[in-house]
Order: sequence, then structure tokens, then C-alpha cells
Amino acid sequence: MTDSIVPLPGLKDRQRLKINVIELPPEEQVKIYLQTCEEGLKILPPLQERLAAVADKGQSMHPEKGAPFLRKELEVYQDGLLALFPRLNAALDMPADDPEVLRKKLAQCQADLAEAQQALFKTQQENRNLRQELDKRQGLIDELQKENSALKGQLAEFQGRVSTNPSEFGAALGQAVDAIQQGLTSLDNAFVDYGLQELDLQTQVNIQLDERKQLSIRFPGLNEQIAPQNLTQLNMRLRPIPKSEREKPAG
Amino acid sequence: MSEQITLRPTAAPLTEMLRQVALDIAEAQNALDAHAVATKTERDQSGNDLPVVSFFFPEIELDLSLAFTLARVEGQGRLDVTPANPTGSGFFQSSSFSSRLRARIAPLALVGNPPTEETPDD
Repeated sequence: MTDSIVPLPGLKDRQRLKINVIELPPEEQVKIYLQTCEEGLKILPPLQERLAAVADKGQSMHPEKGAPFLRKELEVYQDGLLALFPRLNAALDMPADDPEVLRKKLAQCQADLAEAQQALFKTQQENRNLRQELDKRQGLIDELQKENSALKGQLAEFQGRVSTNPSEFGAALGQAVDAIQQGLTSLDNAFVDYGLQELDLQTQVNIQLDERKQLSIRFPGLNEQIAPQNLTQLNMRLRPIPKSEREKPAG
Repeated sequence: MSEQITLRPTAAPLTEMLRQVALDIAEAQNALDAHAVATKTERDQSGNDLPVVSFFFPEIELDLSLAFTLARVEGQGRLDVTPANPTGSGFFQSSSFSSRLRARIAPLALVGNPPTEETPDD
């Protein structure tokens, strides 16, 4: 009966190439499964028909004759079924003839699964460690940024404490006077022009004497509290001299 | 809950502030000049032109409480100013806000004359 079974097309090639049916495209898998079903339908109905007839006959026989008859017929039935197994095994990617291989494969799968679970647990643990390290570093970054902001504030305050020598201070003041003079004389008013009559400046400064015995002036910073008695009072009053008077010869 | 307002000091170059003062004076004088221009076209009942009347500020005094800071710009010292704040809180409590700047401005024709009165600092 096994001779009547037609081998699946391409099965040998797949076995040679070690390609499993389940790895094939679904369309090709369906083709193979349907072909396996057809094989089963060809084999099973004649077997069942024969088995029914054998059972009827066995019931009517004397047990001494019926027992060997039935045993022989069941062996034929078994052969018929066994003929179908290679087709089923091939279609389902099962080893055809070695259950031990299946057990080994199952054991290997279980071992692989245990190993994968262990690797997953390890990865999760590493992930937790990395997260903790990341949080720790983020805390350090926040702390450094805070420190950086504080230093920037101190730097801004320090930059507000620029010292200068008196001549430079005088030049800066002169520029300011010049600015208002120019602003006033360039006005386009129709009836009157204005000029600076007097500029009076009163301020408290810190007079410093450097290593070269040069005086320098420093204004208190905007965020600085200094006792007034520790500062020098600087009063300056500027008045313009009319050109006509300036040009008069001395004496 | 009352809302707390935080004022921050804003510094600007002294030259810029004084230029702005000059522009404000120009605007004020323009308002006075508008009156003089208007009187140019007015006539009395006999048809005679009315004398043009113009006004001016004999003296403008600017008295500022502020803080001076020195900035170094392109190697040159520059005077910056920060106007004081009436609340005198926070930054504005600093010693630097004890500075004063007074400028007297007058028509050019009167600039050579001494100021009308002295206001010595207490």
C-alpha cells in the first residue's frame, strides 16, 4: 500500500536544502497542506471501509479463527496508516522516524527558552542599573548647571565692578556731556536752541591704589552693600565756557 | 494671595540716556513753538498783525537718582546708568544707588549766565 502513495513534489529538494514547510510563503504552505489532505483522503476511506468489513466478519467468526484473522487485518490497517505518516511528518516538519530526536529538540527548546529568560532578566537588570546611573548623572548635570548659573551671576557682578583710572573716567564723562550737547544743538526747533548750562555729578566710589601707586576708581556693584563711610564721595560740576571768553588774552 | 512683583535693574549707557533727554526737550519746545506759529497769522480788529509771542524754558533741571557702573567696551571705559527704583528693594538697596546726576539746560543765549539758584546737596 505504501507504493501507492505519490511523493510530494519538491519534498526531496526541501529536505536536501533543509528548508522547513513553515518557512515557505503561505501560498506554498497551503498547497502542500492541501496535497497532504488529498493523500490522506485517498488512503483512509478504503482502509476504513475494509476495517468495517473485517470487523463484521470477525464478529461472526469463531474466536480461534477470528483472532488471527483480525490481528492480520489490523496489521494491514497499521501499514496503511503508517504509509500516511511520512507525508504528515514532511508537511508538519516533523522527523519522520525518530521520537528521540523530537524529545531532544523539545529539551533543546526548553533549554533555549530558559537561557533566553535568563538573558532577558539580565538585560532588565542592566537596564535598571543604567537607569539608576542615568538618574545619578542627571542629578550631577543639574548640580553643575546650578553651579554654572551661580558662577555666571558672580561673573556678571564682577564685571559690574570694572575699575578704571581717573582719566578714563573723565573721558567717559566727557562723552556723556558731548552726547547731550550734540543732541541739544542738533534740534530743529524754530525759535530757540538749548545748551547744557551745568552738569553736576555726585557719587560714591571706591578709590583704589594699585601696586604702581596709580589711583583707580571703582563703582559699587549693583548687588553690593558697602557702608557709606567706606566709600569716597566724588562730586563733579561741569560748566561750559563761552568761546568768546576763552579766547580773550589772559590778564 | 498677593502677587509679588520683582523689579530688575536695567542699565543703559549714560550717553544714550542724555540723548533721549535732549529729544524730550525738543518735543516740549515744539509744543511751545506751535503757539508762536499760530500767533503769526492772527490780526487785531484794525487788521494789524499781532506780535508773535514765543515761549521757551529759561532753565530745565534734571535731577536723577541712579547707579553708575563702568563697563569696558572695546577696551574703552563706558559709563552706564541704572535709574533707582522708588521701592528701594532688592538690588535697589545697593550702595551704588546713592549717586545723583543733575543737569541744567537753558537756551543757548543764557548758557553763559550763572544758574538761577544753587541747590547744594545735603
